[in-house]
Amino acid sequence: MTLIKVLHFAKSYGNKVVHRDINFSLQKNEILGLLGGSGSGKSVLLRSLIGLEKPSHGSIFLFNENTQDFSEEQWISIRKKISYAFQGGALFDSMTVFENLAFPLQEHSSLSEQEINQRVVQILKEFNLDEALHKYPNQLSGGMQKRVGLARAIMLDPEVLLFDEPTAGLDPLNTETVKKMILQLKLKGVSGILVTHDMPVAFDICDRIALIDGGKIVTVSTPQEIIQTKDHPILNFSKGLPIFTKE
Amino acid sequence: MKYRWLELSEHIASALKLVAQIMKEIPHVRKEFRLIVDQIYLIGLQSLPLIFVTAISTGMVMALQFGNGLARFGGIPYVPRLVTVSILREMGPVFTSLMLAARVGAGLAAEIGSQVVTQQIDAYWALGSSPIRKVVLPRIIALFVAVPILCAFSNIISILGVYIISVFQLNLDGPYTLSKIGDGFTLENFSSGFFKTFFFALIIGLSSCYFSLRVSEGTREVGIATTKAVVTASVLILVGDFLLTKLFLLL
Repeated sequence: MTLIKVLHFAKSYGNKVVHRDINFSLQKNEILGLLGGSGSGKSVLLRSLIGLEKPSHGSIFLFNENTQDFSEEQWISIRKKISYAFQGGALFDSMTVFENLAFPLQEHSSLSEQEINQRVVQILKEFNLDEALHKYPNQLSGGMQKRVGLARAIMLDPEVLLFDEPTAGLDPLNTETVKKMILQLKLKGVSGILVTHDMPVAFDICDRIALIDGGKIVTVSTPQEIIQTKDHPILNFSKGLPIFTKE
Repeated sequence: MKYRWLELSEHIASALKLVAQIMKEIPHVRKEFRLIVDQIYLIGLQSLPLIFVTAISTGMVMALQFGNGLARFGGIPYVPRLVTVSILREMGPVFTSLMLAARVGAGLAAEIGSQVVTQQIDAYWALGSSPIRKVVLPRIIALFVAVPILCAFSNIISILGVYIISVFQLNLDGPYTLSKIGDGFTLENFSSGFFKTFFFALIIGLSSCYFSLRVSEGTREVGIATTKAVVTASVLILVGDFLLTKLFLLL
């Protein structure tokens, strides 16, 4: 079942062309990795998928619905099913960790205050963040902020999660923790798109990996295909070599 | 020149779009009662010391200057009434609003601009909520409540300053000074200044929110947005004061 389908997506800011012709799809129970150099527009693409950016051309289908003429109400409904884990966590700095996590439930669920409390505490325990309950974001380390951001993104049990560089800037221990968290979500049936520069993480988590270059997706392959193919563009990219080697 | 006009018309169109978004969220305002109360505390109560110092200085300086100027013509007895009318009609509302544009307007613009840079504003959208309802509306309503109250407070403190200078510096009789202040403190004088503050509150709130929400990247832009918000609010308060005064005089 196709959850997300992107057709001939293009995005420009004035004269600056970020994407020329992006085409891909995300299937149910699949994690798709998005690789690409800095400034290749990976985050712009993710933001476009939940309506934070408008495509210049092309179409985005979410759950088989074309988003082109979506009203604000339709976007709100979609954002309960497709959640976004921001690169820096994007936690509300005037709220405690508890309040950040309770926020989506207070906005969209009919749960009682007590039920919301229980749910927040349960999620924090699952993510090993119970000590952060009453802390403000500025009292947390970068790694903890990312984990809290990830926890907040799953509060409404979304069907699709968009991860924007979830392990960027983390030490190996925190990287491993975040990786395990994403794998746990995958086991629970959450599908997602993972933007990352971290090749080991991409290989461990993703079912398919796409590489963006020059405003297009130049290849989509499974981790096995990448390993087994000599001079695979994604392997070349990870080694800092030219993506396409001349024969 | 043509480019400037295009830029200005683009600003006006975007500001009107923001106003439309705010109006759309007004029916949900009851849900945000706690946020509004928090903002009234931050904007209103925390501005009291600044408004107190500004108001008492303004009242005392005006009384001194008028006293000095009118002394040559034997006009010192007119000082309490004259200055009270000036404060109620113009100086109180305008000075209070200008000080709030500097303190509160700059604070709001920097706060919201930082929220844009750290993607908190995007996070509201991404979580299916609205930063207009959660961030902008509570601040505008808090300003709408706090600015007129602060203006009334400022008027009283300024007039206290007038009384102090009239009695202790210009050597006017206390009860006489009070009675002349009372003559100037009419409902018409008070209301013509007081009602302007609702417009000034909107100007401060809208310019702060508008410029800060347009920040696209980097902390440098937050600084630029803050400066633009304060300058625009100050200029619009002064120009708006002239236009509103003209309008009130016509009515």
